[in-house]
Amino acid sequence: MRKQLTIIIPIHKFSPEISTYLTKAVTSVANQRDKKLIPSLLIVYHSDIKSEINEFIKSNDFGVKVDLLENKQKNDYCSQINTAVDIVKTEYFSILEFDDQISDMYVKNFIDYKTAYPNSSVFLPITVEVSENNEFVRYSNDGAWSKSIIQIGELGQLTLQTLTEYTYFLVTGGIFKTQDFIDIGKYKTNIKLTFNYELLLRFAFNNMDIQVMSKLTYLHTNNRVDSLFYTYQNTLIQKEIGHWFDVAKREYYFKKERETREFFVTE
Amino acid sequence: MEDRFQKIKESYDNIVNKKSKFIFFVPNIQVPSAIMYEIYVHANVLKEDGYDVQMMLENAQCEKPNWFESSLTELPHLFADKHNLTIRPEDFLMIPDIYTNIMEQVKNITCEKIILSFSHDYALNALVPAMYWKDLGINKVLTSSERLKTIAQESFGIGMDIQSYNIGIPDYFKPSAKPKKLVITFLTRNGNDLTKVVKMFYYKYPQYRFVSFEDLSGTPREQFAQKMGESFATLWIDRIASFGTVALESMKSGNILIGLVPDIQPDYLKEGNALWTYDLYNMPDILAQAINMHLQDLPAFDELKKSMEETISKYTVKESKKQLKAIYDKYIEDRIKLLETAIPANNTVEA
Repeated sequence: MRKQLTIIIPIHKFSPEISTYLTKAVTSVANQRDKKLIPSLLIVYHSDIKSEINEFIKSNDFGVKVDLLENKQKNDYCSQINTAVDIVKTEYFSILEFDDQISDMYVKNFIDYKTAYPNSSVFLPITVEVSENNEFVRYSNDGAWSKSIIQIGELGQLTLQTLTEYTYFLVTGGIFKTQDFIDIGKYKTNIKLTFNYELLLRFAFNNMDIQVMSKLTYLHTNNRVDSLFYTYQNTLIQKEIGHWFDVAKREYYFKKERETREFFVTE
Repeated sequence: MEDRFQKIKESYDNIVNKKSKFIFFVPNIQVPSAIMYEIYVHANVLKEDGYDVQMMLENAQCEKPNWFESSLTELPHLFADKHNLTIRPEDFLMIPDIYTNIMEQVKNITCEKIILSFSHDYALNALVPAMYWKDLGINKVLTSSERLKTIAQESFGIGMDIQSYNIGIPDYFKPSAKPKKLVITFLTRNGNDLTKVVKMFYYKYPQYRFVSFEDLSGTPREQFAQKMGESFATLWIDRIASFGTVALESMKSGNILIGLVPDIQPDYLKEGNALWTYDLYNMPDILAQAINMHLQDLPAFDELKKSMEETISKYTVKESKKQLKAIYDKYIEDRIKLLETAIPANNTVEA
């Protein structure tokens, strides 16, 4: 399995709290029910936290080999992922946020889906979102199984039509065919807030199949204080949120990143 | 007298030489039904054994069923209102339990008559109080489970030869090659019960609003099997089921079965091979349990699967056919012995 799937954990800051989260994330990768299915694990970190990360890895035995990639350039989330994908050698990769965890059947279910849908480019899990206190918030990506949302195509399949009408699908925990991710242009680093949404639209627009697995295999910490989306929630005004959704819906036609104007308050 | 003995001798020779006719009376059930399917299974066991098998439909407006494998319906079909049958002593009439009117009509015909009893309710509905099948000249009954056999013995049993066999679930019931969908297939006799359960479920568990339900009623058999194989669970509510093949079909499809225990508890019902309940109002919680089991691949599902596989292993088509053949062979053997006793001791007939 190490040769088929790489799990990428992007990290740009370090603290005792982050260390606790990261330990759980890495441990969850090692805890696959079938030990033969433990994938490759790549932590991509920014140069700013090089010594902390090296110390973290040195002083912990997680039961899984952890590869490290230092990112000396931009430390935003999208750039981290794009940099990591450039060195991924496996056919598939997935993204695990450092404050999230995967289930012990994450890889097994991916294999079942990959076998059934060998031409699909993206496999998203049904995600359970919890608060920082581990209280249930909601399920995500479950809408792909709803008959009222999926009007065209099969249940579990995300089409362009569905994505243009329904915007809330989480990409983290998703498993991507590496070459397809590269071919469609990877993440666009100049899009705030809706970069995941734009990515999914671009996959769908380019006729690349997106499946939502009928399994709960990813645990996401929702709106952790100091997280990227927590920051967005507390800094972006409603019009700016609308602006970024417009950008996403405008830019998915293009594989290459285009110049996108920042949002300015005009009134 | 000699003529009579000559005829008996001819019948004896015919039955020994497999020239008996088996006439199956087919109920006019307009919707897919396990009873009708089983009748054709029986007919085909005999056909494969080289016997002349004919299917008797009620009238010319009835059509032979088209909702299951057409290979099973490749038999001569006759219409009761159009065709006159010549029944001889070596022939067998296979009469479903609902047809007491036919049993009355054939009472005085000399041949073997066997009741196919797959539904105790149908049998009770068809008989008037204090009327026994023996009074209609029939003492052989073939049922589809040990439980039905026991009930028949207790209700009508005195002097009756009551046999049972295990129904076989065809191999086209199987889990889909693709991962299971987040769909619960259902089959219920009472739509109100289903509506109640589903509504209560969605009210109590709104977080599972993405799980949908699909009705299998009236679906042609192979399509039924396909849909069942694709879904991850099956909901079964049928209080008056006499056997309930859908439960076994669900297990063979690899589904979690959420079942309301029927009034006649099936032979195959046991703790751990499905999520059983006696209480309809429990079913929303059990549905949530099943969903959780599937979503999270809980180890409890592995245990359930093992138990399902063990249960279903007793209900294969091969075993079912073997049991049916043995039962029909015995019927034929009994008939041969009876005819033998009617033939004069010196086994000759004067011209």
